[in-house]
Amino acid sequence: MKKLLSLLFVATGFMFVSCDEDLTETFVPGQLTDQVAVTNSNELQRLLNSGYNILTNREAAVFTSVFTDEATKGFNNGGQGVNTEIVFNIFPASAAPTTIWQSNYFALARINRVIDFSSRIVAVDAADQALINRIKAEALVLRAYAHLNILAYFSPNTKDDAALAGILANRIIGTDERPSRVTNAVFYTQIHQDLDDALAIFAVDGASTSERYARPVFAKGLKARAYAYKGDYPNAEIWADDVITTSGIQLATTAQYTDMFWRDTYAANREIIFTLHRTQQQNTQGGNLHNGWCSVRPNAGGSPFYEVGRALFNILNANPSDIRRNTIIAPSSVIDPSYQTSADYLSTDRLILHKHGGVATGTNTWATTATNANNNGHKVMRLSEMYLIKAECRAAASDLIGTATAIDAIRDARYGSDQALPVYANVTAAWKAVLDERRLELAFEGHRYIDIKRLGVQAGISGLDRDPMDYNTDGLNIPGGDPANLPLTSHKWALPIPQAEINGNGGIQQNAGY
Amino acid sequence: MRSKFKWIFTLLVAFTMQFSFAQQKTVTGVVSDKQGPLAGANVVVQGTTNGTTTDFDGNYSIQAKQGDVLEITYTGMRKMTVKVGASNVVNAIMEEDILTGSEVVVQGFRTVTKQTAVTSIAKVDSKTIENRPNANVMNTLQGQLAGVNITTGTGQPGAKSSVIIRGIGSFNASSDPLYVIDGFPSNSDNFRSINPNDIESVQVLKDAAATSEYGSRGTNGVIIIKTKTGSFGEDKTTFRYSTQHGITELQTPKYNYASSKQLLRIEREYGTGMGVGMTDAEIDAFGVNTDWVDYFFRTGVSTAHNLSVEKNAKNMNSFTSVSYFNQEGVLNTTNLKRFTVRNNLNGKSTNGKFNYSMNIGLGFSKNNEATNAGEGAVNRNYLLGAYISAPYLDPNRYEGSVWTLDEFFNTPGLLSTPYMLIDKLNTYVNETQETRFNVATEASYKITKELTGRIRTSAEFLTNRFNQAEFPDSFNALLFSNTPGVPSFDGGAFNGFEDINQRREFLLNNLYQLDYKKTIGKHTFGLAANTEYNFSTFTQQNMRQRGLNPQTFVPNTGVGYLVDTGANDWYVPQISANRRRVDYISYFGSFDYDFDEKYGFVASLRRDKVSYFADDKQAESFWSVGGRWNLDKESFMDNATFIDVLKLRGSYGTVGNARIVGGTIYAPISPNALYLDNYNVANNVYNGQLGYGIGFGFPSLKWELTKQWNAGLDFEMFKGRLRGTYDYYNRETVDMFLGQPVSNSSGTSQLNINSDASLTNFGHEIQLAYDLIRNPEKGVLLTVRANGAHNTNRVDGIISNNGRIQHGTVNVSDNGGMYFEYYTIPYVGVNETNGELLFLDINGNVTENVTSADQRKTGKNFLPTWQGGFGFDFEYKGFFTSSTFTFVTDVWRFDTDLDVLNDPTNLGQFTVTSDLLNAWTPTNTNTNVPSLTASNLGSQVLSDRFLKDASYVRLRNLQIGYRIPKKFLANTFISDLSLTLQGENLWTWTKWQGFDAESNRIEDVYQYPSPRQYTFGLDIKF
Repeated sequence: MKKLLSLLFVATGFMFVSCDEDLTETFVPGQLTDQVAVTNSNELQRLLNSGYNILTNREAAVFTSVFTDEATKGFNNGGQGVNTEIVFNIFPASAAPTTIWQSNYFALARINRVIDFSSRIVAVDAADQALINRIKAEALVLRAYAHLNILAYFSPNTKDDAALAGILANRIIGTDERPSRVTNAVFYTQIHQDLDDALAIFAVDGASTSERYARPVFAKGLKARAYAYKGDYPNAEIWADDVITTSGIQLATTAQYTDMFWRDTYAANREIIFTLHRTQQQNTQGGNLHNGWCSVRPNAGGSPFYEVGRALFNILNANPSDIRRNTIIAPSSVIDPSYQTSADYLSTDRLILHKHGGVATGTNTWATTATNANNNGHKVMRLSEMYLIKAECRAAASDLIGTATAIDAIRDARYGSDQALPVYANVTAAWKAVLDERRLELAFEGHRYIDIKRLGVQAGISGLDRDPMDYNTDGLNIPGGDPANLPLTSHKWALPIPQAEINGNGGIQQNAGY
Repeated sequence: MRSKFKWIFTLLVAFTMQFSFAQQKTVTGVVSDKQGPLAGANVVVQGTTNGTTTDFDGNYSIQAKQGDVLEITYTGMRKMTVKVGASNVVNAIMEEDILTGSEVVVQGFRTVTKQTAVTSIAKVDSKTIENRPNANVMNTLQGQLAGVNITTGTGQPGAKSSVIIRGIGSFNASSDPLYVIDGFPSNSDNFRSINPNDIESVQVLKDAAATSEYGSRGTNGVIIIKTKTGSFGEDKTTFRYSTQHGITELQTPKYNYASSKQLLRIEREYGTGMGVGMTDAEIDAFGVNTDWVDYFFRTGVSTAHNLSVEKNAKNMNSFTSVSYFNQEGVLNTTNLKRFTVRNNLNGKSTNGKFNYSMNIGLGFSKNNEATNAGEGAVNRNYLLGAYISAPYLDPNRYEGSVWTLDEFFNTPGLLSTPYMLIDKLNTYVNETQETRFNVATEASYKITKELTGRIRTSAEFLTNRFNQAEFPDSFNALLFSNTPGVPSFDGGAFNGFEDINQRREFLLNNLYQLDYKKTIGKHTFGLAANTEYNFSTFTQQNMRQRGLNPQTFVPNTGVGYLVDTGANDWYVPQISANRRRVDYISYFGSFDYDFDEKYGFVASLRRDKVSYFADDKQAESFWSVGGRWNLDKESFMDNATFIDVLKLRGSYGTVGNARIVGGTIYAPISPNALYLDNYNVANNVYNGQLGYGIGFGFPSLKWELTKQWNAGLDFEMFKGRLRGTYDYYNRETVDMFLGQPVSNSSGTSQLNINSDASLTNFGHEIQLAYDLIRNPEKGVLLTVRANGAHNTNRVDGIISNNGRIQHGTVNVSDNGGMYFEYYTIPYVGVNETNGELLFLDINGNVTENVTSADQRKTGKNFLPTWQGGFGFDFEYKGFFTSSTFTFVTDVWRFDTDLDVLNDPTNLGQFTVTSDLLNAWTPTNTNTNVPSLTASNLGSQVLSDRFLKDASYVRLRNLQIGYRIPKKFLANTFISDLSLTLQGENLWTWTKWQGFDAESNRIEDVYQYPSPRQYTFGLDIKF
């Protein structure tokens, strides 16, 4: 018996023993570990590219427009936003906090690996070492950018050093860690440290001149933006002035302005400080910028589920020679002059957004949702923002003329002709002018939510500026969308820490009110 | 008293007779079951080797003495003993064996008799499976097997069912049981190309003692499918032809769809859509009222033909069948066509030492499936079009694709949804062709009387060709064209696309077994040693051509493809290819011991290696022990004469699961092995350059382990009239695979790990059958049968997030709580003063404003507490009828279809329920329908407003048939002829309002409901 058994094991074992190990080797061709994947500068760049790509997320721009007073329910709305953003219904599991949080932190995880791995890669020569250093510097700039995004959306008060920002991701964070939030002060310190470090590297090793990469001027602009968010206007002005006067970048002409937004066409040193670029091959309905507001393409036939809010339209429409009017409002729009008495306002008044990927005339928009079709990059920072920060700094210094001068510089460019210098009655009016100009200039680019949060009180506004027809019972009939439901004191000016984070990090501090 | 006296009297007569006429005579008779004569039944004189088998008409002839006992056996039938009396004719009507007996059952890798099995047995044979109109055999098994929860989530013909045995055992890992077809553990859960009429039996292994031998993959239970064979015996050929024709229709929902006139009024009230500005007179005069459910669904037709030939011979037998099956789904365009061939061959050497078998099955199927079911794709999901299209639209207005695009541009867009879908009906096709080739071979040799060596080699080769085409210049093609809205014949770009995907899968299993069995007196020992190698691989190539020429395009032929031009890249085809491979190597052995068929003990040990894990985590050992006590064999039971069989049994053991995530067997290594951080090179990541996607891994990933114990009782009483089994089980999964949420700052939101969490399922299973009337002489038999299983589910051991795993927004699993418990805010009604929704906040106060902090656990989830089936079989003189009811209790699911119909924001584009006519207004305050403009409608996503009780009792199957009496067939070539009428899903008792109470989903929206079917069948043997 025993003998027979051992015979069996010998006989059957024979087949396998020799090749046992090989047979059960995991078969996953093409799989690389980080040790194999990132060994030279070229591969380090790939990892950074993934960081850029993950940051190319439209949610902040779309959420901002719908939650505030830029967009409203479109005539092809299939339920989008009506029970959520439009009526200020936001909770930890909502898409906006989740996506904004995740896109920044997922990108940070890649960026931190770039920074970490950059020190272990052995350069082939001095030029290669310079390249590695430049990649690291770009990563540092992106890290500052992502941290600033988190702070802007999740901190209840960007100007309060003691308020909580987010999780400080200045290193590779392990999947077994449960980090807590840190204060704005810690965030700001890290942001400026990273930007200073990057600028130091750029100074030695050179930098990309392409607006599609995190170049030195973007680092400087970010410093201006971060100081402005902080309310540290003397410093903000130093960096805004630096960009305006030394970068060589100029404001776009009216033609360049539409080309830039509609067709993603821009000359060097024109307007754009940094854009997150997208290619035709990346065209997907789920990722395209224009698809944040429409199913197919940015015109009336493209199934727009969001439109331009009537209040914003009324401001734009009052100044037809302002290029921003035509940049934002599509020619396929149906404008109902007596919209306030329309029985079916949703259908009779169609104000189509085409800032991203539109066209001057006809229906052949540049962007559409077809394979290998065009879709737009995200203009993360433009020169006009530096002028607006400058204007803000001047208002903070009670310099009404200075504020007017900075705003006038933008208007001259946008109207294509010299405009009269605005006159403000007092400091509050100057703040209001800054906020209003930002509303027009940066519409649908993801600024309005942060701007009202940090400037609303100084500008003396009570809240959002939505046309009553966009919510009242005679119009779109969304009573919950009344701006009265979102006072400036609302806790909703800071996004909730998303459920997706709480699930894995139960101890993290939630913002008040959620 | 009277019957007892009679019984004694009868015995006395027989006893007396035996002494008087104890001499050999020729006894003849017919062995039949309730369906008709049984060919190949064994008839043996008890205690002798004198035996024979019945012929083709069930006739036998044997030499026996009066007083002898004839033992009649037939696979799947209860063993019968008949005493030979004065008559020379002994007819026997056999009954289906539901529980114990001499029938052979599978226990681990070996077969044992039911009496000596230490495990619970749940088995269904061909009688139950044959001629049912279900494309997938698993649908037929619903309600037949205690503790096996089979749920059909879709009405798509041929689609896979969800099968959960003894409760869901893991959070993340696959819950699919292991399917073993003719000894081949194939992992295959796709039965659309298998003919259910070829199946002899389906047995479910649930206990650890049985599943542990399948260690590596037995954790979710094992389903053993055996196909039909011939039998060794008298040379004989039998033919059988059966056919069914039927219709398939939609189960109707209990929703109150608004009529055109109602919808127009609601729109007018709400201030959007066509109804705005219409007068009462205009609305009353409105003539169109389309039933879009009726438009997109249809009455399907189904046809099946089966022809089989069974050949019996002394040393060789075979079973050969061909079949054709065609079923139209109730949803337009859905269909399954299948053609199968099978040949099962068994042979043995003259001395019986060498046995071999080869089972070959070939199936070819064509499947047209509905796309985007459950999705809000207005231009793709027919079900959405059926469920929410506005009734005031007239389908006859449709005038083609360009017209549809114009309509879309010129209406409030989505209102034209039904036209987009009508256009898709005309301009889109999809088809999956599948060829399935199965070979299962086995050869064994009796080396000595006690020792048998066995080799089993099985292989399955599966090829799929998937084709889908969006026709050029169709609505969708024009909408997503590079020159939108301009057809190619008007100078626009060529548009549309075609996919052709090819997949080949090859599965191989190789088993070497040495089986030793020795009997010494009343002691029987068995010892088996095995090695097994299992290999699975697939290759796949996908291709998409964009840009089709409408002049020449024909789907699935490759004509009409545009070539790339220099001006743009619109027509460049997209391609991809993929291959994965999974290997298992196992060594296992088992020992069993029996004493006098009274006591039994088995033990098994198995060591598995699998290629899913890192080298040092690949191997794991599993073991089990089991025992039984056949109480009925004990002398102290002799007085309990009413008990025929009573067996106590129990087992404990461990099984493993390596399928970290659900999906196919390749999912755990697609695209990456989950135990490593993976850097995948990706194209066009940023600015046209390459990038790295990172997959985050868990290095110490290892087997998930399930520990199970089980105790059971099998009984048979009152001469077999009452048969039953009871089981208690407890299975606990540890080292459980979990998509563990992690801090997003790590770069990912969750990681697949072996978590600290555990999941325990425990419960009871009962299976009973009772012959209310059993009178073979008069041909009357009425059997009632029932089975039920009660399962309790407990989560424990979670460390993170204060002992909670949150699934989405409204489900949690808490320590001590149930799996996927609903976590909601109670909805309490409408505020009479303003029409807002009212909820109960966490402190029990009625409020309009709630946050996620007001959510609480409900004690409800989507898995049943009780589930099972019951029914009866009745026959009388050729008439027969049988029924199967199925039931589930305590199943709660979100009726999102109802939610959608109650959503006022859909007004103007889609229809709603007529209940909205009763919505709150300042003048209609006493209502349970919130104001159409309530500002807190959004808060209801966290509430239980649409969480509905989906428990049901369903008449799953009812059959009525008639078997033509033999005398009418006497002079024909036909030996048996029966006619059957049957219905599936005839009636459902439920509170669920939607299309189909039965579903394995947490919420149902725009899904494909399972249909009701009526079939007429004909079955001829000759």
